[in-house]
Amino acid sequence: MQTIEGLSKVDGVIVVEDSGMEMPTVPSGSTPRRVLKGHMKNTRRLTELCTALDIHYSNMMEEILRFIRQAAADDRRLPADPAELRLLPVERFAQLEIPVPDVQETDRFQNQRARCTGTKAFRNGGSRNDWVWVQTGGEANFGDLRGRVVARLLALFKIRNILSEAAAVHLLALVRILDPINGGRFHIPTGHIPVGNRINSRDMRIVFKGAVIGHAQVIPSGEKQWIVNHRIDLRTFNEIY
Amino acid sequence: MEGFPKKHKRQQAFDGAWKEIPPYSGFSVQKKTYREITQWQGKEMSNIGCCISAILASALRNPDSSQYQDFKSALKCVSALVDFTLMAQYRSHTPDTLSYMESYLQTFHRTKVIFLEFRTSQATRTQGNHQDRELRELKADQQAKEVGHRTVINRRRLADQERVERSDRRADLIWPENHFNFIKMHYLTHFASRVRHFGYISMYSTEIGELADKDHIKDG
Repeated sequence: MQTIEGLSKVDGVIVVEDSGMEMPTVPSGSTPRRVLKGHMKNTRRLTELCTALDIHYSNMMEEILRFIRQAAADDRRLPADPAELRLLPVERFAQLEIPVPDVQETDRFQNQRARCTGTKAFRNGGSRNDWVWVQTGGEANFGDLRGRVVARLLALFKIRNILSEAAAVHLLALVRILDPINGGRFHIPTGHIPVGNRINSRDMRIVFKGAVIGHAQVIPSGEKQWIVNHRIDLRTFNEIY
Repeated sequence: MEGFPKKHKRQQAFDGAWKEIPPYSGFSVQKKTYREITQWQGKEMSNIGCCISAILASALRNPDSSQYQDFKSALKCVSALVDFTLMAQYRSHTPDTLSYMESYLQTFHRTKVIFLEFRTSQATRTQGNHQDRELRELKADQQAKEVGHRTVINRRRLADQERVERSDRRADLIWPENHFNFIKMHYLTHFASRVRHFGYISMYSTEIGELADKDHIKDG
């Protein structure tokens, strides 16, 4: 199974181990960029982010260190020292705008707005943390899901490495990943792909915003299980079959 | 669509899945349950088409051995129709996409019989109820005229026989009346041939003209 650990980032390109597939982390000239919107106040450090999300700081630190270890060792890289990480400025956002190319006219893009309000209410309703597709491997992985997994957005944030000369900004997403059941293949009688909560291993991940490739829709189907709705739009229907 | 989950006692699961539809770009989440919606707008109809097969699959999960084939047929039928409508949205077609669409339509027509019993019109249903009532009254008259004491077992057996007879007669009345012969269903069979003849069908849409009518009426 290909995981995020299997990805290595080199010169603005994420290279997927085994498959050799490359995914650009910086979009090419004509491709619109993913944009973080909806700046949320009162989050300036990682500790404050953890408090706002009700996540234990040690878990967050574990995830962020794992993320840093996978990143290329250059001057943009975040420090791997927890004491230094604690000092870095953080900004939290409520929305990720993802430009998704049209099915038949790939020069046209549709903006999908994935919301992530954490515990805060969205438009006088409940909180809203959308389901998204996260590309975690090559097309050969996860059966019919073709290297992508369904994940719930937990936080969208920006972290600036003020300790380095480059003062690089990293735009990241904290997600909770669902595991494909049956290897990500279609369940023949229902004609859908079931996914479920990860039980044995850690389910939280920190990924680049570029790894979030679009909105996903899953319908609850029993205890801690969901059905991937691959007929939600023409694009998803075309990609998952 | 309401009848099938109701018949198999999956209505609650269906409503539960319906209520839990998560938000999605360009998709408005319903606040009401499926049963509570009395009038469907065009946008709502297209929304339901996007998620109905997943909702139904969720509602019909874990079937027992007697339900397995029916559930499989129902899901196949709904999925085939949704797949057809999704492929109809392509702006350009190839012989392959058209043949896919034709095969989806064939699958739909092959499996649609599973929903036939729920296609009863209001008039036929009223007629069925009327026939039911008449039959019940007739039987009650016959029993009143009959003299002599009946045991409880006999009474129960007679009641069962009556119920079966009523149900058979109702089915005899309703089934020949149920059909899928309506114009919108028929049009689907011409889709592929029309694309071959005229190209992208939506460019002949009258929606724009109809929208202009609205302005004309207001201006007038």
